Amino acid sequence: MKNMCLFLAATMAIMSASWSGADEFSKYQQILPRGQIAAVTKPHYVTAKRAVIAGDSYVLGIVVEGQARAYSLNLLNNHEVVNDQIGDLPFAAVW
Amino acid sequence: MYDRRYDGKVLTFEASGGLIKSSLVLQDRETDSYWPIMSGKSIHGELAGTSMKEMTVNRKMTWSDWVSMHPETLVLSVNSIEDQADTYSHYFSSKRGFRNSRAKDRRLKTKTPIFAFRLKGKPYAVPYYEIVGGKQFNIGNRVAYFYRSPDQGLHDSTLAYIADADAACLVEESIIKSGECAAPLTGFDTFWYNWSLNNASTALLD
Repeated sequence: MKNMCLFLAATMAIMSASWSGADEFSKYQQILPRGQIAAVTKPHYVTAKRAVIAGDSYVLGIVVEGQARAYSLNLLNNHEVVNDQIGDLPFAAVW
Repeated sequence: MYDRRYDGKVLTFEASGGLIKSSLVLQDRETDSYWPIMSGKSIHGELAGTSMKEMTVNRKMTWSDWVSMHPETLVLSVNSIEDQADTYSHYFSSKRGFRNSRAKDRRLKTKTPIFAFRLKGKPYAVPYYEIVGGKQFNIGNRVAYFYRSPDQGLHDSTLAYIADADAACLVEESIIKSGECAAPLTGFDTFWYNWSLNNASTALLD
């Protein structure tokens, strides 16, 4: 009986969690076809000396394992996501 | 910034092309799960219910500030372009939200800039105007410290740190800048409507 109660409680908890997500997803609105905003999946980089970027332009800067990288916010606006990796750490740059 | 490792997979994120409550929704190519960034949890697909892993390694600032701090930095280049025209300047200067969205929670105006974060799953927000020059708040047994300088632009990141309330250190700007005592606090620099529409029970620090 105790096991049955636990099973029912667990099932109800899972259903509740699923419902919450389903409820949230019902508010999702597709605006553009998926893929129309092209994420960057194989990022390329230049050095600071070679970069053509205005001093007052904004960047998202990161430092991982001592390596610094900068992503122009204006480029991020166009691509939304940069899928990147430094060392063993894969990460997504989003702002 | 988000870690891309979930459930033993390395995910490739992209814009889903859709929104939830005016906020960006990502989708990953490996599981097709949907990830609204403002609620920070997948809501549909194989990884539904999984929380996004936010990282504290990023900071937004002008290029001149960044390169003076990190002259060895590499710069993202897409099709040999490192920067381009700002196509969102009208949005950022407008009093209206994206697609005319408005905050339902009227404690702040729709486009009030805020720093927002979660602590033990509970959402919090502090408006920029409260933290110019630095301010700390006690939250339970923790103390959170926020700093914006008077001359910072809208896109400059808020400095945010968290420490135990009984930590033997002062939580103030000089300590924060030295990186001692407190840990960086992950969060969003965003607008009130964007955060509050997706985090209805937000506690406002003011």
